[in-house]
Amino acid sequence: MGVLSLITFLPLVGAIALLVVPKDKPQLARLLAVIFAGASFIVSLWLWANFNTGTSDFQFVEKFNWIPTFNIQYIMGVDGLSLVLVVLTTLLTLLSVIASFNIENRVKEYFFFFLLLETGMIGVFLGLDLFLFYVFWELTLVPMYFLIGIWGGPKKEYAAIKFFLFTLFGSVFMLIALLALYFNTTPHTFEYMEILKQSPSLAMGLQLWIFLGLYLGFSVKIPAFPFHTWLPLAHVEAPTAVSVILAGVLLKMGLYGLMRFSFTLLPLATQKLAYPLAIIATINIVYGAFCSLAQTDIKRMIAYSSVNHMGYALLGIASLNVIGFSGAALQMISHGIITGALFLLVGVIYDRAHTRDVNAFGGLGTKLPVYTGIMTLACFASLGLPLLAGFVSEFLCFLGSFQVVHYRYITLISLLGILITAAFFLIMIKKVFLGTFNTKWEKLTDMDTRELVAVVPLCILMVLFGILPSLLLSPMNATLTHLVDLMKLTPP
Amino acid sequence: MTTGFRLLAPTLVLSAFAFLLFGLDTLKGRARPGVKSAGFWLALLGLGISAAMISSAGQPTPILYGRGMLVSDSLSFILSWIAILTTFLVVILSENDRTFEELPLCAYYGLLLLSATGLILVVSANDFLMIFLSIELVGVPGFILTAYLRSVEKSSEAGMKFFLIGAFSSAMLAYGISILYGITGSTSLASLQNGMPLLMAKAPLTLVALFFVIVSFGFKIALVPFHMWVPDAFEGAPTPVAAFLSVAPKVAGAALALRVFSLTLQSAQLGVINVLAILVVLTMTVANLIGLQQTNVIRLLAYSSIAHMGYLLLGLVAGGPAGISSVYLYGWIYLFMNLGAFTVVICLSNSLQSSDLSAYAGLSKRAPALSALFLLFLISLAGIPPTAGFIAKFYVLSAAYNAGWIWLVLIASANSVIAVGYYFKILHAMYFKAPVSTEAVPITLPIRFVLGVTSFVTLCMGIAPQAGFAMVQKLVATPPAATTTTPVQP
Repeated sequence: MGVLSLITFLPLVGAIALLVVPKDKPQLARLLAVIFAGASFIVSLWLWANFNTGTSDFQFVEKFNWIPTFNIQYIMGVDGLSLVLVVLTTLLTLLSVIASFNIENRVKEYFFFFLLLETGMIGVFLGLDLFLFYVFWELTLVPMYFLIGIWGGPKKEYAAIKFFLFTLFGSVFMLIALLALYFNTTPHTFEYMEILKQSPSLAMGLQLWIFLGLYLGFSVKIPAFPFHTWLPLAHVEAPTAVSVILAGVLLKMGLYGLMRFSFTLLPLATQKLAYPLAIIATINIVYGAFCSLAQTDIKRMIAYSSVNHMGYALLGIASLNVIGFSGAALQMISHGIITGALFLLVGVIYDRAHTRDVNAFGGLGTKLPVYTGIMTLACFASLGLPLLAGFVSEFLCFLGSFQVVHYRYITLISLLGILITAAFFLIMIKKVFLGTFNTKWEKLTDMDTRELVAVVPLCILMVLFGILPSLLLSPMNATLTHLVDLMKLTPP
Repeated sequence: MTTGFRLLAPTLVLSAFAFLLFGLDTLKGRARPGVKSAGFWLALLGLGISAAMISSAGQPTPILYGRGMLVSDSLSFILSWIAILTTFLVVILSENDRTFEELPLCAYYGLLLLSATGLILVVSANDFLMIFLSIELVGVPGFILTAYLRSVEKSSEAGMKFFLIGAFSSAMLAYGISILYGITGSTSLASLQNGMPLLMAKAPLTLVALFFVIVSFGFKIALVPFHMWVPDAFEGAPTPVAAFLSVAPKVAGAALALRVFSLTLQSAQLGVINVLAILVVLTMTVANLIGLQQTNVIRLLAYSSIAHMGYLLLGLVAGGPAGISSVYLYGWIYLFMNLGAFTVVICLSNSLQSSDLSAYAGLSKRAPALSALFLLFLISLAGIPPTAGFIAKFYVLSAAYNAGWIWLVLIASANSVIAVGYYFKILHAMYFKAPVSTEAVPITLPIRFVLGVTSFVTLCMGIAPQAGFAMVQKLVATPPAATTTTPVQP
């Protein structure tokens, strides 16, 4: 068993181990969850340390003939793009598990589903056989359904099934697109590297159909307009830690799928559809930002800001150049870190005040200095203040898209998004932390150790990647350049 | 001659044991526990011997026997196994079932065995007369089994409905057969195949005949719009009987349709294939949409079983080796996942006294293991990986895609999203609702056994499906019988 399988299946082993924990020992369940999520994180750090940044090839490849009848392989491999996403996943899962220690209801089941979800997410980023990828992709659905539906807010049940049906709707069309790829290769295969040799020379019409099928699956996850409506509901209703995973990792699965599979396997269709994609990105940016501006619930506001931020990343990849790709990849990581932190922070205040209405607060700055400081930092990072992680990634996305001549106008329109983002974050900060203190919140306490342990690492990373984005960019560089080169291939 | 007897042996053994059980039922102390359990073990013994005889026949090469009335080939081999296994598991499920507490059970087991005999004959039939007779042999015990709870009004009503529909559809079948006999001068499937030019020449009349055959099969397999009897019959019948009816007769009916419309007739030339495709679409879509409205778990599973027949026939429509083997694998997997789901329902209705969705509220707290298993079976029925149901669905869809039925694949995929809507209603009740009581749900030993077998297969075939694929492909590699038989002159 290779190191990639180890990272992927450690959480699954943990989940199975949790099943035998007695019901009346929640502390043991928590401990087991941390141990297995932590182990997976540590192995992923080891992977990063031993990763060769000089090549765009897949490394640590594992291969095993899974279903010979259909020529389906179990292939796992890591390159620069999947490396950072896997580490992001293991990190956020570990922190979310720690942040979930205050869950008192059905603790064992909660961590069971959480660890199962982690296996699915890591597998999505590492699977290099499209069938395997699909299995992992679907594996994330059921745990997420229960995590939202059992431990969520007032409208949790509706949010859970809406999330499930939207994603499933997208993924069944993805499955048909995968079948189309399978039957249009000789010999029939789901293996990514094999399809890559053949599919770029498929006819334009077929490429467009396959692209559309894959896009339906991926765009629901991103979420790209008009398939984004599940997101605000799911994010708001999900418990804090689950919102972190939803925003931090699950949304990235869609963009990852586009970058890794749709673009490289179907270069002709990609070049044809890049402009419509960029327009969808612009809608995401502007529409998402305006929706955020209209919210009074802080969690809802952050949820819509995810629509907006994923728009930047989509704009970056739609520009089909290395700078745009780097921006998008960086945006995936920084959004994961920043929005993860923001959801944790909203959870902190909601646990104490049981409301998330911006107008209910006021002047919290004097009462909760630590909380205010961290929250303000995260907001600034999210609105793209220079020297924080969000700035570099958004800047690169815009730089990439501005280089494409006919994207100039939509890039200009998209820049509006930055302004609105700044507006809604600043308004929120003003209403909640500044002004006169609302004496109703006299008894609020500042963050406790558990919460700090979960949030502070993310804040350090925000600053670190803001100052030294090369830490992230250097492992990804070779891979991203290679991905862009693949799209330039034109059939003979 | 000896080969013929060897091949007939499984059915002979089954019917012998069935009559032995009927004999037991005439005893005075027939309702006593001792006699009941003697009947139980006798039934299992009969099924076991029969299964051993089927497997001793080994790798099936197509052989005609019983004066050309019956055939032993890959189709009959795998479907006989499905019939025996279903009956075996249902017999085990019926032991200790609360609904049967006061009743003598020997005749019940005998009827199940007789029905299994019929099922084996259905899937081995190579002649329309044999098809007609064996369908009746499946049906008549089925009517009685459905109405077995004499004192329960709903059970009698269900049996009556089932009987009327059965009689009606048999009449249709007889009518269709008589027209086909008029055209080709024979009831044998082989002569039907050789008579293709004749059938084509008399196209309108052939289509009328085939219309009647399709309608009749439609009732047996419960395709929309011939499905109305299913939810009522399932709800009224004793739940183990509903579990039996949901698997074996339907899969056998689909196999029969496969033999007639895919292996024997060139359906594509006759245009019948399009009719079947439309029936597939109707079956899946209507059943799933009505399923969304159900609040009774058994009715819900009834609609689910209707929709699954749509998927199964998708493989028939696809045709070719891939299509046929996908039907085999789907039938095989469907047996385990559907029977598993019914087993959970049987176990629960024994202690909840109800199969209404509201009674399932909060079950995950009262019966965590049962709920988890139900979760497994339901996501398998919904076709979500990593379960066997996904593998089955994937195989059928890929066969249909490869055969060029892309619009069918699209509709089938959209349908699997709709189906999730109602499967998850059950999960919703079990996991998201507050429990109505805290009383634990006991699981009896027979039920534990069945749950163990079904969940093991459902999970294993999802994670390591190669064995299943290899099995069905090996079966299909041997040529189907109807194409290798010698011509029979009219």
